[in-house]
Amino acid sequence: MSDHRRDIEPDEVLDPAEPFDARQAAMHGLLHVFYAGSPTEEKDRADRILEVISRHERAALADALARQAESLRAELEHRAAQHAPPLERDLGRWDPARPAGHDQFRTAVSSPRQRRHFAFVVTALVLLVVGAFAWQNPLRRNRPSPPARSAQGPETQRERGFQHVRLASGQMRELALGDLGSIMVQGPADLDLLGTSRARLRQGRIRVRITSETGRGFMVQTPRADVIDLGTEFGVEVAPGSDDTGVVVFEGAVDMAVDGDGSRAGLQVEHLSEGDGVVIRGAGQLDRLMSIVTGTTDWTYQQTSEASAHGAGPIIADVRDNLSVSQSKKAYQIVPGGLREDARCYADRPRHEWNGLDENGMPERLIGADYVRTFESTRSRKDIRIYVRLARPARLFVFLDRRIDPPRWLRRDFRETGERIGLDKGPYRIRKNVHATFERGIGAGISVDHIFSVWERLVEQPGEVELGPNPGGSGSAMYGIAAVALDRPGGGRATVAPGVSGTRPAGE
Amino acid sequence: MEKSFEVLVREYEPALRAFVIACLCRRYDVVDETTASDLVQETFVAAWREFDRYDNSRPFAAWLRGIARNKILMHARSAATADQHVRFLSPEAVEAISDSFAPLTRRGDTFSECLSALRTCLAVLSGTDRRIIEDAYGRRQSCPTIADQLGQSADAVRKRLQRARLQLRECILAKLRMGEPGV
Repeated sequence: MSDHRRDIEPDEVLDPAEPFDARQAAMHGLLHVFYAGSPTEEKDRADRILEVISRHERAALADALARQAESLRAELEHRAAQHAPPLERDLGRWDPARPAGHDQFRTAVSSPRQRRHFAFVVTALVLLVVGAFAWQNPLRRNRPSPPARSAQGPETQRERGFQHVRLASGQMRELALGDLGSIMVQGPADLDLLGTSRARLRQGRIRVRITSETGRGFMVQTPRADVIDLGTEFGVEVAPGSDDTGVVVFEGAVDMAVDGDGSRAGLQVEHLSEGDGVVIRGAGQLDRLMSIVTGTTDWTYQQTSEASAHGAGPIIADVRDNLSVSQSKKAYQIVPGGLREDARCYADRPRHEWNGLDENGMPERLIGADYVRTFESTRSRKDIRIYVRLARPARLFVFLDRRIDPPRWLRRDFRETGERIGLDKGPYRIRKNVHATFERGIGAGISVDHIFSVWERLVEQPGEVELGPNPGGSGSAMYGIAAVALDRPGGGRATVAPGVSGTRPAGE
Repeated sequence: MEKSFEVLVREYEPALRAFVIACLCRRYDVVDETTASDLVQETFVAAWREFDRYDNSRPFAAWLRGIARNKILMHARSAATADQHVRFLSPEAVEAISDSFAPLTRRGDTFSECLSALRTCLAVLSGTDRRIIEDAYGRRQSCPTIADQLGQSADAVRKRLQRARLQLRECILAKLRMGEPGV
């Protein structure tokens, strides 16, 4: 596992009793780099920096262009407002493939002169928006130009067009972004799809999946931040009323431009990667999303208000740890009823999966359990405490890498069951175009890389359970967490509860 | 410009990293390499954006350290706000570390010469001192662990480390002054 994280010795090596000496500190840094850096690692780090620089450029460019489009749009709205009903409604039905000034605007714009002016502004706006995002991604230069695409047929025209989506609570709809990917919208939601490279989310949850390299740079604008996709899957949720905006990265990375004080003057760009989850409350105030509830197509960070205390709701209500947002931006992913063969293990490793060791599969009573995707990157963090809140009496499981000696907290609070579960490592990205390659099999007993022992604890009283650090080093994996209800019949393959509203078990 | 910046990143990444680690080392809890990497990355991103302002009559390494210094102090402030137990170096101390890097990278402004001088100088250290340095930095062992192996006290090991570091520094400076790049 080539996560480059290693602890730098704290004061230990530099004698804390000695007065501060800059020469000592400088030599400390020098020696550290001398021993730590193999030429390959140095090259990798330099490559990552260069990659981020070009990303930042893209993000800065996209943002500058979006702001221009925005001010032009404001101008347009101002003009339209002088003559007509709100433009928003008209833009919603507007089809960019039709010549501007088409009769759909007749109600809005009365005189021919005004209409010509209106058409000009609209055309300029569209050219700017479409052009901006085509330019932003160099790959897209090689694709057919937007007008050529719109001429392909009504299907393509609709895809490229503007679309308003308003969903009531409980509704879900998938929007295709041409061949670039798709957006899953969960109601209650209010979303404007502005072509295939931009959407504006006023309220609700979306999960954006960009499947094509060409689709990178897709931007979701929210009241508090603009989220720019750097491939491949992320979620955005704008809470009704408060405008608090949650962003979570399931796979790949995003850049997020957060408004400082509403003026956009204090624009701050945050880079989020796999497993990260943050919520922006108020002007530019960034907090860590401790945990989210997710399935395959849906997610929410507001699970606490939705979790049910009786019977049918999830067993794991909430997970948090003692790290602050400056130490970690990662969010635990709770998957109600989601444990099964090939279930994803970690929030920050999209291709590592839980599997049975052989064709008999994983222990039967674990199938359909609620489980938590922990962070592989905290496997050697010695100061971490994880708190799991159980909504109902439950059997709580910890899966410990067998290469690790069981830590004291585990031996004290849990019982080793003798059961085993396997980790099937998939390829994961080290940096651009370089992946750690691991063959990944589908189903039980195929290509299992590491074996974990299953530990169990009966929790009769709902409430919070504290878990300690994973005592492993670089040659080990982080532990997993799962739970089944105590009243689950026989501990066998139980029917999966429907889950909290708006979530479904993974794998559907 | 992008290409030449790429060359600069490859050339100066290790030196900048050494500086950042030096500035993080007095934090009173464990610092991880992720923080160091993030700060190095942020510094280069800022340098790239501000490249117009770079005065090429000055050493590039020093300019980078100037940018990194601000990032480090900003990071220290936000981390200290989040957790009051965390302490960092003062701005003056960070400045002093930057100054103390200057002579190590002044000649020709490259770090690889400094590192190869360090390699030569390590060979000159006494056997025990070299072993302590290798255990502490190469194997990441703590002072008590090293002390146990040597049958000495942890304090004695720390003192030896202090002395060895100063000795190495003098040796590197001498080698650089002699214009002898080393092995």
